[in-house]
Amino acid sequence: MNTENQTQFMEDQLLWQEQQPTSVSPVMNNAQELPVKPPMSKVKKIGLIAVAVFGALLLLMIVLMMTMGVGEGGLSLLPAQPSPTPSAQHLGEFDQAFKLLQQDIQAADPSINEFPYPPVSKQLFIVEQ
Amino acid sequence: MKKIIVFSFVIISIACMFAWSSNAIRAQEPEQPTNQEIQQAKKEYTLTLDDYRTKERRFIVAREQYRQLQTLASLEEVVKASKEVQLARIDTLISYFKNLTLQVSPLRGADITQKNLQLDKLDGALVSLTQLRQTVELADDRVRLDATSLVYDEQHEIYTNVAYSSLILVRIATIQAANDQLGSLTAQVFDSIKSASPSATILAEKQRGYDELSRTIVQIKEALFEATTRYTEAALQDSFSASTYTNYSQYLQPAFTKLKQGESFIKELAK
Repeated sequence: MNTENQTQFMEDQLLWQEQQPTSVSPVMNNAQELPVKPPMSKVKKIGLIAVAVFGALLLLMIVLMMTMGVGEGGLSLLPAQPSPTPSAQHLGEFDQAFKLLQQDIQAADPSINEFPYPPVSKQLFIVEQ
Repeated sequence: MKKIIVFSFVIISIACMFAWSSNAIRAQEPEQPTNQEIQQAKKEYTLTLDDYRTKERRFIVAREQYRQLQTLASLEEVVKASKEVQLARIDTLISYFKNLTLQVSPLRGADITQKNLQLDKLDGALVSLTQLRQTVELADDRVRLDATSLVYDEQHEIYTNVAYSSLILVRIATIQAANDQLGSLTAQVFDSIKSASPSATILAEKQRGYDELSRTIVQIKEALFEATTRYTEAALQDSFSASTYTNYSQYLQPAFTKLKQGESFIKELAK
C-alpha cells in the first residue's frame, strides 16, 4: 500500500511539474540577461586613484590659499599683507597695529616735503635772450 | 568609480576657475614698487642732481669767459658746457618724475581716478622730457642749444604743476590712509573690549571714549573731503605750484593734528 501511494505521489508530482509554465521568475530572468562585468584593469584603477588624489590635493591647496593667504612668491603660511589690526582678545596684542598706525601717521605729516621740485635753473642761455 | 571621476573633474574645474580669476584680478592691480626700487630711485635722483650742480657751475664759468673773451675757442667751450648742463637738467628731472611715480602708484588712500590721472600726467612729463633730451643731443651749436633751453623754460610751468599736484595728492592720500587705519583699528579695539565683558561702569567709560574717537575720525574725514574737493577743482585748472603746496600743507595741518590726537585716544582706549 505504501509503495503504491509513493508511486502515485511521484506520478502526481511529475504531472504537476509538466503542467507548470516553463518560464522562470522575472528577477531571475534579468539576472541571467545581465552581462558579466570584465574585471577593471590595473592601469585604469591606478589612473582613477591618481585623478582623485590630485583633485583632493587641489582642493586642499585652495582651502590653504583662501585661509592663509598667498604671498608674492607663491603659497605662504603667512598672509601676504599682514593685517595691521589683528582681531585679538587681549588688547596687548594690538601693539603691533599701533606701531604701524604710528608709522603711517608720521608719514602723513603735511609739513614734511622730502621731494620738492629739483633746484634746477631756468634761462641757461649762452647769449641773453 | 564614475562618481570619483565626476567629482575629481568638478574639483579641477573649480580650481582652474579660481586660479584664472585670481590671476585676472592680480593683472588688473598696478604693480607695487618694492622698497629696494624706491631706495634705488632716490639714490639715482641724488646722483643726477649732484651731477647737474657740477655741470651748472662749469657752464656759468664758461659763459662768463665767453662773454669776456668773445673768442671762438671760448664759444666752443660754452657750447659744450651748455649741452652738458641741459642734458644733466633733463636727467635730473626724469629721475625726479620717476621718483614721484613710485610715490603715487602705491597710494592707498587716493581716489583711483585721481591717482590714474596723476600717473598719466607724470607719464606725460617723462615723455616730454625724453623728447627734449633727444633734441638736445642733436643740437651742436649756440643757436640750437639756446633754442632747446628756451623750450625747457616754456615747459617749466607744466613740469612744476605736475610735480606739486603729485606731492599734494600724496599728502592728502597718506592722511586718508592713516585715518582709515585708525577707524578700522578703533572698531576692532572696541569689539575686543566688549568681548572681554567688562563691568557696566568701565564699558560706559570706554563707550564715551569710543564715541569721542569716532567723532575725531569723522572730523578728519570732513577735512579731507574739503581738501579733495579743492584739489579736484585746482586740478581742472592745472594751477599747482610751490606756494600751492605750502597752502595745502597748512590747510591739512588741523586734520593731521586731529590724527595725532586720534592716535593718542586709541592707545588710551585700549588700556
